[in-house]
Amino acid sequence: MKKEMQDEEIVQLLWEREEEGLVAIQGKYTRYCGAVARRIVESKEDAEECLNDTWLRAWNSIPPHRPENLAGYLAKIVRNQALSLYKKQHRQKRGGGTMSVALEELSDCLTDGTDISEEVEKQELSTVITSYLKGKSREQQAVFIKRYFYMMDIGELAASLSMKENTVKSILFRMRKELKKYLEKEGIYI
Amino acid sequence: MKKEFDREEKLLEAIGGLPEDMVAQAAEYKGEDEAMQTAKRERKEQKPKKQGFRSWSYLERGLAIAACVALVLLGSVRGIPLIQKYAAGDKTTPIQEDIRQSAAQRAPVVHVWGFTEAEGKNTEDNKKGSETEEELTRILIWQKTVRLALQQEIGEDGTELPVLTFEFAKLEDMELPEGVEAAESLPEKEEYFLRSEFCNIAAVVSDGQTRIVNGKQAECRDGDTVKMDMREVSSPSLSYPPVAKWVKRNIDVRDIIHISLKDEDGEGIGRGRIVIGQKGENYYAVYQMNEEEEEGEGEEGQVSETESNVPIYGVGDREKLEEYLATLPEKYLSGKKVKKLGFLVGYGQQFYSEKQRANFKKIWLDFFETTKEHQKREKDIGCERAVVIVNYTIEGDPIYDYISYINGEYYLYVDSSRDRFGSGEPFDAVYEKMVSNTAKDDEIYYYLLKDSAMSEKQLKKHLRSEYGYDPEEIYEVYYLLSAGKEETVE
Repeated sequence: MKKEMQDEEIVQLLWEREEEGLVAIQGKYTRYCGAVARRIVESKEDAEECLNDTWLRAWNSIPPHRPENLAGYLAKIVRNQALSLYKKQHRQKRGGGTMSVALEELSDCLTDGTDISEEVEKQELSTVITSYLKGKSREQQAVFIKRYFYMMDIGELAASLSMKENTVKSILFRMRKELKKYLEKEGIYI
Repeated sequence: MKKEFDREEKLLEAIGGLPEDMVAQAAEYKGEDEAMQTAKRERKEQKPKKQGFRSWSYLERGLAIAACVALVLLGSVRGIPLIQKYAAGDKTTPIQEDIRQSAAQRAPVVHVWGFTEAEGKNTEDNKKGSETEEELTRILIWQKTVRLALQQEIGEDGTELPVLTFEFAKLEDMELPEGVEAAESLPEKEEYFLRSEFCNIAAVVSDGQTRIVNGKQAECRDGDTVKMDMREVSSPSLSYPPVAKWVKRNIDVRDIIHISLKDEDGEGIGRGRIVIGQKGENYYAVYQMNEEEEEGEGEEGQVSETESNVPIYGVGDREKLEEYLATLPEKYLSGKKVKKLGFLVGYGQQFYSEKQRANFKKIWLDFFETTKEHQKREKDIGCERAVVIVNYTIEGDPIYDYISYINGEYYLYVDSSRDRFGSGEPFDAVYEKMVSNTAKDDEIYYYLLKDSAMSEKQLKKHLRSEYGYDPEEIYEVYYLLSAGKEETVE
């Protein structure tokens, strides 16, 4: 059986513009990235579209970018692609599903009495959320990221961590409240 | 009206900007990480080495007794010595898990055994060890998962019969590797009752004589070989996974074999169980030990009386309560300790005997019903009660939930300071009411409610909601399995 290629080798192939790298990346990450896309967009076809865009963006961005963590890098690309598609499709109407529920939940983190025109750079917001998460345990980080980055539904998330669903809900609830306070403390208003 | 989510979307996009390492690590996280393993190793190293069986704790004695239930998977029916040399094992924490796959593919013999600490040879050494002849026989220890090799034999009807073969051997028969300290010799010819939940016990081989069983129950003695018929049976329906770690590894439970030690009167005393799992073509097993039965607990089958030694503190006594909680054990509590303290165990009940679990239930129902009754009818008469619930984290750290009831008011204090991987921050709140709710899977959950006017319908709505609920408003404080479920999962 053919041995799975290491990430460093894949990145090196892409860096050298070898198409074998693209084949390897698809072989290794289609399932992983496909799962991220399917949780955000509604149809299989849309997920396929996100995946194709992801491979293309990876091909176009390496080089000049040389990701140190290929899995994380691809996850971010596919998530962005899927979110863009989701927003495009839902500009007129908003449906149900994990995405909508996750968005509802994130209302908890919004700081009160602020004007949306007080623009906070996305990058700055990411930095503060990262800083907040760094202060949490690995378990809490995993719960939060699996829910709001990978968009896992509660059942899937609980099973992936061998936890009870209620425990996951409880952790998320507390973290949302904490994040809101943290953002306020850091002077972030969204 | 359509709700706008612009700001939430912005937040979601910002979460997309988290560092690549962080999101990749979160995706890989399955409830345990290297930090935990390191902490466990450190904990193990810090534990003083004890000499001799008598100086062991109940838990360690239990492990030694588990040693007499050594399980040996044989590579073939004949020609393989039952006892072979093997790599050094160690006495581990319940959580440590070691699946040594490469060796298993050719390992004809797997031992499940409890040892004292092995000098200079820890689990890591074993993992890295070369595939020498010694490794052909491997060691399974309490709560460790190892991979098994399925053997094909010819059944009575001439067809192929897939079997997993185990042997019950005595420690004194084992040739101990260097650095492994043995427990004292165990009594001659221990006898066991075996009860399989799903698969048939095909046969028991005793002194070279094969006894066909083809049933769920059998008796055997030290040195006997037990062959499990692993042909497909209907999927077990269990109310909770007997091996939590198998859930994330996608290992399905195939069978649970309960082991009882036969006492002088010929009665069975629960000793533990072997859980057999399957993932694809691979088979796995883990040995889970029952807490040793305590002496003088009363008549068999009866629930012993337990006096509660829990002091009663209300919301105004937080400092005193914290002082009290600080005196409680840092690690796993033996059945004897739990009984002495008058505590009950929530998550982690499966590590305690049936009798002890019955006691937990009794303590809980006594607290629940007494306080509920008091709220209903006797508010004018004073009533003060308190219980402590011990819940174990997946790493085995105790979290103490202290609940008091003083004249109509419940006070909850959650002490998670011993949870090495949690925030460690205490949580406390006052509630007006406690209710029970039977879930779909027949488990009964108990909730503390801040608002006594909350209806059952409202509670269920909160519980069903993906959004979650505020623990200061609703707190899931305990659960009980239904009687039928208890029998199933033991």
